[in-house]
Amino acid sequence: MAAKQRHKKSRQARRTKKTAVPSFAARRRLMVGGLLCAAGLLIAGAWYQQIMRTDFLQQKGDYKHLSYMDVPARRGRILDRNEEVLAVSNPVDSVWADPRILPQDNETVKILAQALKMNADDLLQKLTRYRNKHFFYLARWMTPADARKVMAILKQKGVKGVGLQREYRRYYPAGEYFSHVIGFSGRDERGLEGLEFQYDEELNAEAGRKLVLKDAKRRLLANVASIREPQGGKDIVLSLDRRLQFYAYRALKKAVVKHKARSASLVMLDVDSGEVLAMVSQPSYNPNASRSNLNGRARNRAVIDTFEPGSTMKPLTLAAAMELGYITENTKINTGKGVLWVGRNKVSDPKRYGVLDPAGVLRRSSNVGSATIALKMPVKDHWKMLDRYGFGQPVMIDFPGEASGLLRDYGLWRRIDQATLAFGYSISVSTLQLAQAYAILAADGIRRPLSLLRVDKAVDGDRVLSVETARSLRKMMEGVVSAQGTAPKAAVSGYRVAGKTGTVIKLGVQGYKDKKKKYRALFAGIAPATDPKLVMVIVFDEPVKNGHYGGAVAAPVFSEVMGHALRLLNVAPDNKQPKSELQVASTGGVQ
Amino acid sequence: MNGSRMLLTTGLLVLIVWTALKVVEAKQQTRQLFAVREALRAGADELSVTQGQLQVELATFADYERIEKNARNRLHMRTPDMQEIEVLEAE
Repeated sequence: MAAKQRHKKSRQARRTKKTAVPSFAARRRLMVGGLLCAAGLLIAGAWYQQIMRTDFLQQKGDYKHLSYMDVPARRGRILDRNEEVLAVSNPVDSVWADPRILPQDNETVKILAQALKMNADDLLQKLTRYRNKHFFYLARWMTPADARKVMAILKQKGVKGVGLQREYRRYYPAGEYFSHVIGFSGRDERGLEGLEFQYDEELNAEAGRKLVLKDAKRRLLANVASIREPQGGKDIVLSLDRRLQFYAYRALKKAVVKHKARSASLVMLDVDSGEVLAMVSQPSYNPNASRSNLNGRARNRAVIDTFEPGSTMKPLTLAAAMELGYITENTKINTGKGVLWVGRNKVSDPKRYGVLDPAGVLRRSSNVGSATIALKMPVKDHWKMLDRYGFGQPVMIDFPGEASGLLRDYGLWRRIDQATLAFGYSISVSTLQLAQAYAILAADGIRRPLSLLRVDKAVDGDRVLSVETARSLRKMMEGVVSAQGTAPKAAVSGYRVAGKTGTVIKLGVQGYKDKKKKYRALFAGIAPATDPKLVMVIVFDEPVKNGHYGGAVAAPVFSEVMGHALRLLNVAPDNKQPKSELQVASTGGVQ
Repeated sequence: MNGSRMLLTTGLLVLIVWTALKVVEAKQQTRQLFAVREALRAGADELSVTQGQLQVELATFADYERIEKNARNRLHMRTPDMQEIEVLEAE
């Protein structure tokens, strides 16, 4: 009824357009219904967002606040035997840019160029080149302090889209003295050459990874989880001695320049432990500088290159014959007129030496004498001795690309091969192999495994020669370094030196008979001769100036380096007699 | 509701509020300590940068070429002659 009345009234009201009487009840219902609807929508919305889309939204939220962070780890160091640093990875910062964010107007380029101290045109070119990329390096390997300065400038000027990345850079403080042995690693901190390559697995560091929580300003709030622990690389301690390496390097370089040699190498061994104390090659390079165009300069010639050892083989031939009982210290060898015919081939000496004892064969370096002695041995036994010296097989020193040299099977030897083998032809060896063989003479006949890593406990070796043979050979080899021998310049003041020179004719286009002969100059020596501590072998390839004989080119280097080494290692002098003028002139002093 | 139950409820309510506050406090402490740790880590990083630089520097200063030059030229040292060297036997 009332409704009807109201209806009527309202109609009247419309008609009359006078006072409108509102219907509160209807309004209230409408409002409540509307609010309920809205509340329902909100609840449904909330339910949908909170329950149905929870994973998605959680992910979005995490995406904003959680992020993965790399935890850098450092590659192991390489140390010398006294634990002086030879290779170390230091933190550096690289400046990167995201071209999608980085504005590329002239103003920004100018600021960037100024901050990075780069040429603006180059920078613009770089920016253009990487325009469509998401990431590129503006500058690599800055010191962290410099990098921070750059970032401060950019922040002040409001340049966005530039950041820092922590990296490590390998430094080689000993530079070119050690470059051949240590090698180098690449920008990714993985070894590419030398021991860096050989021991990459030990040295290598694995960066860690962790999940972190950050606030809206990207500041770290908390560590959520560690995905992977960072693994630092292990340090490697070498057997090499930085001081000896330095003296060896300097003396070798000086001699290479003086004699205009193409290349040279030197190896010094510790007799008691088999450790390599010095190993240098020429030409060298600086591992800290650009390594493009290295050509042959990166070759560790002491280990990789092989050659015919020439006369330095003679003491080893004599030792073999003496060990097998074919000669004694007093055996008389008739070298006759200095010519020995082996079939149709001729072995000759530069002079007539007449009748010589083994010591005389070494002192005079008689080819005929040593060939005569070698031919007394059955080929199989001769071969066996050379094999036991370590020729024709790698030294197993754990160096990439190590040469094994060439020692042909005795079944293939002709008689002339055996004769020329006696004085170091028809065989190829590396500097390291030759040093190893001489170390047998020095260690009273024991062959020890060689090592480039520090040996804390001496390893047992194998007996190759008897003590008597080794000692007697050393005594004979002392004659080489006397005034009557071929290498008086190898003498070291205060110490007795046993050694042997070698002057090898290099195989040319016409065999060994090229008109313009090329030579190799060698010296292999042991000191002190009475109680040997060190063995050193030096090889020069094609010395052309100021002499080409082993006694003239290699012996003085031996004297200089050995002098320093014996003094530095506190080896007691075994020869305190007053010296002749000649010896004093060639002591291991530094000019 | 009798008095003892009322008391228990109130007590538990207080405890809940108290532990809730403690949770907030602990969270805050965690973040503070984390910030300290991060600062220390940054410090350690800084030190490792310095250490690396010093190692390289040491190697440069310990270069034998340099040592020898200084010994000879500045300190006027020389290698002793064999005659000047006396070897002492260990007793």
